[in-house]
Amino acid sequence: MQALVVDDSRVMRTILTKLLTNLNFDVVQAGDGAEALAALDAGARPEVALVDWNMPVMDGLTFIKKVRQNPEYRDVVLMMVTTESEQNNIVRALAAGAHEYVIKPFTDEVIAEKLEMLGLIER
Amino acid sequence: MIDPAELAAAQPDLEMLLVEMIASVLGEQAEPTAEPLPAAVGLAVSRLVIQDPQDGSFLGVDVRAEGNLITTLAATLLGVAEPAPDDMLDVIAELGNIAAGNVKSLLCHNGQLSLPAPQLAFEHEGDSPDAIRAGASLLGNVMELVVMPLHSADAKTRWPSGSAQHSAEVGV
Amino acid sequence: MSIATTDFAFVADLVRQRSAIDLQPGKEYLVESRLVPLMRISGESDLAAFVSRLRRGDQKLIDSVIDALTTNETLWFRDTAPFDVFTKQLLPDVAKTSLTKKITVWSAACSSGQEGYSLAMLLLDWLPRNPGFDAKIVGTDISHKMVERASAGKYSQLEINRGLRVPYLVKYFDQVGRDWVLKKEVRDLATFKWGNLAQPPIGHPQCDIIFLRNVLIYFDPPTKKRVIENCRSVLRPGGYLVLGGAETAPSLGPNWKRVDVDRAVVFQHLGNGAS
Repeated sequence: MQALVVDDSRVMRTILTKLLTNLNFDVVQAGDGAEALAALDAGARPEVALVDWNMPVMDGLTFIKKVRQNPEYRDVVLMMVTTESEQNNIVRALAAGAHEYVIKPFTDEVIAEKLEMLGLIER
Repeated sequence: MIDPAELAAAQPDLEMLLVEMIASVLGEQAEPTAEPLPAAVGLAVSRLVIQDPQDGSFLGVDVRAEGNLITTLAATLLGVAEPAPDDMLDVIAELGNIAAGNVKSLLCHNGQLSLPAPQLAFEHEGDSPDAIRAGASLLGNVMELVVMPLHSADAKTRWPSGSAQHSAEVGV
Repeated sequence: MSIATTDFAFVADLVRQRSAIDLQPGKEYLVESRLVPLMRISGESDLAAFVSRLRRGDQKLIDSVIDALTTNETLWFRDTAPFDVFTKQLLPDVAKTSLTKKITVWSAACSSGQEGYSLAMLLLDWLPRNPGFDAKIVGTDISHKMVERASAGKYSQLEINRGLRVPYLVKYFDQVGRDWVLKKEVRDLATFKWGNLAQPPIGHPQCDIIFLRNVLIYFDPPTKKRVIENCRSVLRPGGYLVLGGAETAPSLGPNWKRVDVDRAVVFQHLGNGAS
């Protein structure tokens, strides 16, 4: 199983990568939405992408819209992991095509529970 | 512009937010403290700006900690034996980012959050009288979260792509 | 995966110090089933290594262990399967045989209310598709503090991160500062009150479905029997009792039929004739 972690913070990428590796994912990292799209275009086919919202170059919401526009990527489950925590932003993310939403700060269990709920892991 | 009384009333919430953030991101137990950061010590500071969509006013959100503490945390979080300054900047930047996002839903609903501006400093100038401070002690050190009204955003403030401020900067 | 005797004793001590819960020898399976998921997340591959991190005082890990071993329900839609079964099978079935067209669900040992409200949200999805029906959730807990918290229907950001499907968050909650409050329509469906499962449920309404999950494990065999009898006394014939997934099926007696559905542990009450 492959996961794509999209966050401009190296610390957050490291935290998420460690957590996902422990759950048996191979992790591909990207520092913003544009890098993440490039990874997909280069052939990465993650089961799930964990996507930050506020990033330079291309933000997470734009990334999600672009992924949803491309039928080739329709099987990628999209999970926002962001400090943006207002209800109307969550609604916007869902409308753009996100499947799940995790508000920072989170604990390791939160991510694992959401992945389980999405049917991506069994515990 | 945020009402000073509303800002002052949020102090306990800021304290709780800081302690929660330390527990979940860093896995460390922290306690609220009124103790200030020690003077004349290396500091790591992260500044983010929130712009109010209603009136265009700005709120500054700083997270500050002793350099020693951030070195320790960077070593754990990034898995490096001897963290470089860049590692420390990354750690304080993400702490600032998480804190500011939560401050935004607490005090400035639907505001626009900037990207973090982290720096290592040897002292800071002291805060304006209308700044509200929350402190927490962990691992024998102090970390603080300070929220203050700003007259303007620093010209070097970076805004995320997709935001109105970013579009204005790049002339979209 | 089994836990060493000394490691079990250490964990039991830890839990005893922090809560009133007494994990006697014999409860190894409970400790194992709760610790293994935490162990996986922590990156350890065996319980000995995991427990030695607890011994070294890893506070974050200790907290999560105490939480996992003492808290009944801090998650929304905890374990997923019982809630899927509730919507797909139990609810349609009790509706078919209901004489009153009023569905009553008991969330026993409801803690801070997440289970009860999860069920309430599912009922809110179901009711418009089944006109003429009425439904309510009754939650009970032995802690007054928990009953108060559940009744308030207000949760922190950290709490709503735990297992709540985000479309439900958006649909059924209002954001107040950093907290999230359940909308009135959800709160109106659920009531919470104090109750001791070991005592006869006097004044408790007759129920169609009872959620009694991860509770029996804490009781000795005679108390366990009493608790099940108390549930039976308010469960209508044909109604369902849902237990926790980690619970071994206790022998409930001749009035019960085990119904195997997916990964949920469900028993149907056959009526009072036999005993």
